[in-house]
Amino acid sequence: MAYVQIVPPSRASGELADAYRYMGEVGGVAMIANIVRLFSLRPASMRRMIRTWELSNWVGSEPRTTREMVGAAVSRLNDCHY
Amino acid sequence: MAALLDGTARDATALERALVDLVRAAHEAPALLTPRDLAPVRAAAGDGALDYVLVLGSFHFINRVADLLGVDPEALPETLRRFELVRRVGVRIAARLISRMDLANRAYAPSWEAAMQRAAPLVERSLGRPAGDALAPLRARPKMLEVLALALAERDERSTLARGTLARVHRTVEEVLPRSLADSTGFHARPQDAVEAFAFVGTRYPARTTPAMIDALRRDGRDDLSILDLAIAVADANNWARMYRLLELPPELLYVTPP
Repeated sequence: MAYVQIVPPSRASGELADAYRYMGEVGGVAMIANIVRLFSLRPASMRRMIRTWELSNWVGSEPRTTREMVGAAVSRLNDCHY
Repeated sequence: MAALLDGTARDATALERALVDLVRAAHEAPALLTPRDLAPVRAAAGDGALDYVLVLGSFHFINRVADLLGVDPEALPETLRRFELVRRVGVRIAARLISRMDLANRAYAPSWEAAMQRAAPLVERSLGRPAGDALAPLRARPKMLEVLALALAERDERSTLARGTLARVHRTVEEVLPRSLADSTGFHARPQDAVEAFAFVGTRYPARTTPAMIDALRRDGRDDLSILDLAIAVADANNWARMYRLLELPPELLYVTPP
């Protein structure tokens, strides 16, 4: 369980519900990853995280697979539990 | 991935090898990074090197938020991961979800000038002077200006942290940024102060964050939102520590000094 409170999509309203919908639009799937939910205490920070993610992983000319490889390598060396 | 990281992947391209070297350098000794570390990636990918710096920094950011705040793993709880059949089903479900995502590259419409116009107020407020050529290293990828502006807005317009706390986080991150593999894998004395200990562990080995560290922050009077802001500040500083070194940007653009 996360160390900070999380408001899940099922209990979200207003700005937070909008931020969750924005994630669905960017990712193209309805599932909201737990890492996104971590930001639920502040919808504006969630939107920032989602937009930065889009600019990093989707926007640009480099192959998506190579970008994912970089992300996987960073996460592995960081020993990230997520 | 393991073969790529240990250098035994025979079919790795020159770009993949350059990227793995960069990722390794940014993990083992980020304090020593210079633009020279990016040169092999530039040789293989040209201006695409900026895309990779952004990915690298984004994962240093998100890995830290995940570990500092103890996010639950996506598919399977730790207790179920030891069962191979369950693990396989979990992988299949995850693969199905990812296969439905749109993975095609997307274009960035704003020009450099338009992106600069939007970012300028935040950048100039941070630097205390007009940006001039300070951001020229990003010119090939205007999207980087938006990323930067988003980070500055987070720091200046949303974070509940006092300026002095932000300065302490930034100073700690810079002071303990690994200079060798031993710095990020060994065992070291942590600062007594709860905020500085959080920044220390979050910089060197965020996966070692413990509930006791969070309890110490709460005893310090910090609520959930403040702890979220601390995790974001530590993660942003770790992203920035790598980005400004690789791209020769002014450190003071994101780092704040004590008031």
